[in-house]
Amino acid sequence: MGMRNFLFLTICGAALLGLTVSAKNTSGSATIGQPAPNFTLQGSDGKEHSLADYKGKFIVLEWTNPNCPFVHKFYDSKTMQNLQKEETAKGVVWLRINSSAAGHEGSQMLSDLADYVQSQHVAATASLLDPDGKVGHLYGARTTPHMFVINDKGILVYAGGIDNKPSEDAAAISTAKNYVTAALTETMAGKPVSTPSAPPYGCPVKYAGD
Amino acid sequence: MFLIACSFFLRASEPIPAPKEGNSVAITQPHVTAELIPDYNSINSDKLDVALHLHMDPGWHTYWINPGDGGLATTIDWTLPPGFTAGPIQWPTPERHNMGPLVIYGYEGDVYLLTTITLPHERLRWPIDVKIKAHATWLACQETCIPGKADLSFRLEGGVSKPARAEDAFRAKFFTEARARLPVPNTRWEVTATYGPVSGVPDSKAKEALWIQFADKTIVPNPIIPSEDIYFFPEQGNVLSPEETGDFGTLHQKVSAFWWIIALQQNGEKPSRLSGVLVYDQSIIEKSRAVYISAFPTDDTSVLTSHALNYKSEESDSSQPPAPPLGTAAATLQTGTSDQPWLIAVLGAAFVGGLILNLMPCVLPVLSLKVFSLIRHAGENRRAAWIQGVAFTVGVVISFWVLAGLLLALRAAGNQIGWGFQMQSSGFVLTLIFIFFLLALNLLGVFELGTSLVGVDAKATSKTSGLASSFLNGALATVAATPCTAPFMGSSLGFAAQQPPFVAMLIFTFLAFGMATPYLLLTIFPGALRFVPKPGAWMETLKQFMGFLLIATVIFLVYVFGALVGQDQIPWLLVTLLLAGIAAWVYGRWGTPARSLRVRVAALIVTLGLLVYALNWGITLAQVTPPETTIASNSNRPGDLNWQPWSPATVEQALTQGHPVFIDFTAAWCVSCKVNEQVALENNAVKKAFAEKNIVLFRADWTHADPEISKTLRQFNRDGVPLYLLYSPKNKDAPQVLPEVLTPGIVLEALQKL
Repeated sequence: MGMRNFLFLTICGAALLGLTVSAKNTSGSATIGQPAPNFTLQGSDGKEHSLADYKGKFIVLEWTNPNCPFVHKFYDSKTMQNLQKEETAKGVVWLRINSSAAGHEGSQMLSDLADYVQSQHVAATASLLDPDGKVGHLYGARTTPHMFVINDKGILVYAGGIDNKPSEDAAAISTAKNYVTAALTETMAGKPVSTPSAPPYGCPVKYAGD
Repeated sequence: MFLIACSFFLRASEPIPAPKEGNSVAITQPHVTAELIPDYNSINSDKLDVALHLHMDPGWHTYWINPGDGGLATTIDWTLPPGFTAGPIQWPTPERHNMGPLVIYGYEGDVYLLTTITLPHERLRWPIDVKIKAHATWLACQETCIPGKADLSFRLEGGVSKPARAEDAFRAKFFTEARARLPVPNTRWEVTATYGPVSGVPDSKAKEALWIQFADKTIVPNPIIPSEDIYFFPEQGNVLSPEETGDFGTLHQKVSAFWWIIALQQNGEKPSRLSGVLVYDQSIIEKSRAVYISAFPTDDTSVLTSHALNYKSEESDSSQPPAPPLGTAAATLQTGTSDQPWLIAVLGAAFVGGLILNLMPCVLPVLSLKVFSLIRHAGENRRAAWIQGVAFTVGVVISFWVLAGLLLALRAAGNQIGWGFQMQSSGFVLTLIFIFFLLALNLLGVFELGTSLVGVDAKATSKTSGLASSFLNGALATVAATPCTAPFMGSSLGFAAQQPPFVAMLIFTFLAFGMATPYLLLTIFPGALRFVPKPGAWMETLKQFMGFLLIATVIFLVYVFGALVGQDQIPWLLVTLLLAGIAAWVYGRWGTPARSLRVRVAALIVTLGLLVYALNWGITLAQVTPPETTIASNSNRPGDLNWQPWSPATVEQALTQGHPVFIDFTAAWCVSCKVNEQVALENNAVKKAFAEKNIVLFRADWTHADPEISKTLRQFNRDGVPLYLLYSPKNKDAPQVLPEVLTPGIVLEALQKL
């Protein structure tokens, strides 16, 4: 009896342990057509930014890494900054998120991030840090860039690559179809997004290794 | 072993000498050196193979056609002389590399990307001297990523054939080795893929999964494959979610097939064609360990029936391939010549299942009718009895065919209705109630059906109507038997439901024969009839007793009817039965040939009027919308165990909270379920064990057709209730499946194993 209870408790304990370990992978997720899960992150302005702060607005999430050549492709050519300028002028909230873990490529401190925003003339609403990768995992961000569009009702309407030309060559931008602009135009007109997902491409997000 | 062979080859071939005939120059970029190598040995034909050799610094990798979670595939843009065409890159089998929690597909060390260039041979004027140019781009990553590109070229010159030289021999070996790294075409595996629910996939973020089955066309049984030795690289990106642990979804194995349930990528694509490379630690075909396969995944979840998850012993973690038990034959069976023995086993199981059906509570009353009829015919000649047996058999077989046809038709229509669906239709139950009630009154002597229908007076019975009666008896027995899923029935039916119509029909036929056999044997070997008592006055007694058996069946059916349309309707149903009873009595009292014709006609009018009125009323009762209460919620009495209504989400929640879970899949009309619940689940020792072990109890009520429950039943290769599952939170994917006949001992033993 005593032995049996002990065994049972041991098994339960082991099971619970297993669950806590795996909880990281299972806590919520962002799914197209479903409400986008909320998060709160520190921004380069030193303030905390919550997705919930921007309720009722159209939101773009941009996963980024300052050292990734694919990010360079869009920032060196000013494509990304122009896009940010255009869309925020229309009232769109643009959040940049860097999920590089400390000690990994592209990892930034808040001060580095502020410098980057200034020197690169970033025109996003806010640039945020996600060093433990929680938000990245929540949204299933895999590459930099990896783009997400949320409509004014808080529904995720686009997830995927920034455009349809997976290349690190900036020359490809001019002929590429930008999925983020397309999704924003459609969803802001109240229409369903015709391409709600496309393969993301770029550098793998530099999450902490397990 | 493969890697050793590769590295040996690489050491032997490094550095690759630049071809003298051409003038290919290697271009070095940060961490990557690129070079074009033509295979001059192939120039005698119309085709010239060219390898793009990328040599990466240690730790750096370039990417496969599907880079996995990040990265970019290497590209080659060819600039060719007029008439020359270049084919696609022939990708060598990729390797998988972890980048934190992400998994990428690519190559480390050296990779040789082969491209076949087709020459317009007939239009060329030999000797030739042309330039083949290629613009290659790649992404090289270690921790950081660096894009690279190179403009490479070589001169293609010379005649149709050249004398073989030492270097040519070396190059021949080089290309032979490079080609050996390509996956081979698939001749071994029959691949079927379906987009289905996530079941047992560690990454529960995904809502959907790809179920991909590889059936071995060559060997049965094939050895159990350790899951770490096998991997599938999908060519299409953004589809499947690879696992960092190396467990690419869940691997399940059967004797002749194995399959994966692979979580779909979060917000990914669902392409109609899926292709990729299946890699196995041992040779798959000849010497190759990688095979190129493709499939067209469907959304047809009915094929998932073959993916039985309940045979834990056969899964990949078992060290020894176990002998397949009879019950699992259904799950492993593939339609194909190599699997004929399995088909025979399944048909055998179906036959035995049919035999057992005779002993099921639903059939027993009809069985007694049959026995009674048999005794009646014992007085006749042997041939007549034999013919009755055949008629009964035909009745059973045809009824099974009709049911099978109906089941297949419904399944074809994508209906989520399983076996036993008749009992989920209130109209069907109502019809049975009336038939059984009137038959009971007949047996109790309230009325005689004259000489033409049931034919109590054997001497007056014409042969044809006797045959018709036997035929109808067979049909009736079948209809009543369907809700009782006997232990052998489950897997056979689950198997039948997913088979091509011919095989399904065959299985139903064997079930039918199994059920009819005892009766048929008694009629073919009338010797056994000697043991049957001689007709006499006791027959009247027996007949009346059987009337009570039928009344008992009616009571059970009334209970089912109440469960379907609400208990409030039962008094009204009883009133309609009273009216039907009066109708039968009027017919029996004044409708007999002893009365004058006028009286008989009047009696018949009254009888029919009453019956039609009663039936019509019954039909309106049957159309009442069922109330929301389920047997799960209204069977909870104070002091009882807390049975919760089942849903996959609540089960998942309980498991996540660390509770073991027991699920009782049941239905109001399922007698075996009721017996199991009374005998085993309501047993005090079992109740105590449930409470002690903190088991969360769920009841899935299938009284009304519930598509979600039907789907779950089919996942466990069942097409009917009962089904009992015991989940341990530490092994959520492989619940214990308890037998269809429960005893307290079986449940307690299962609980011990938690």
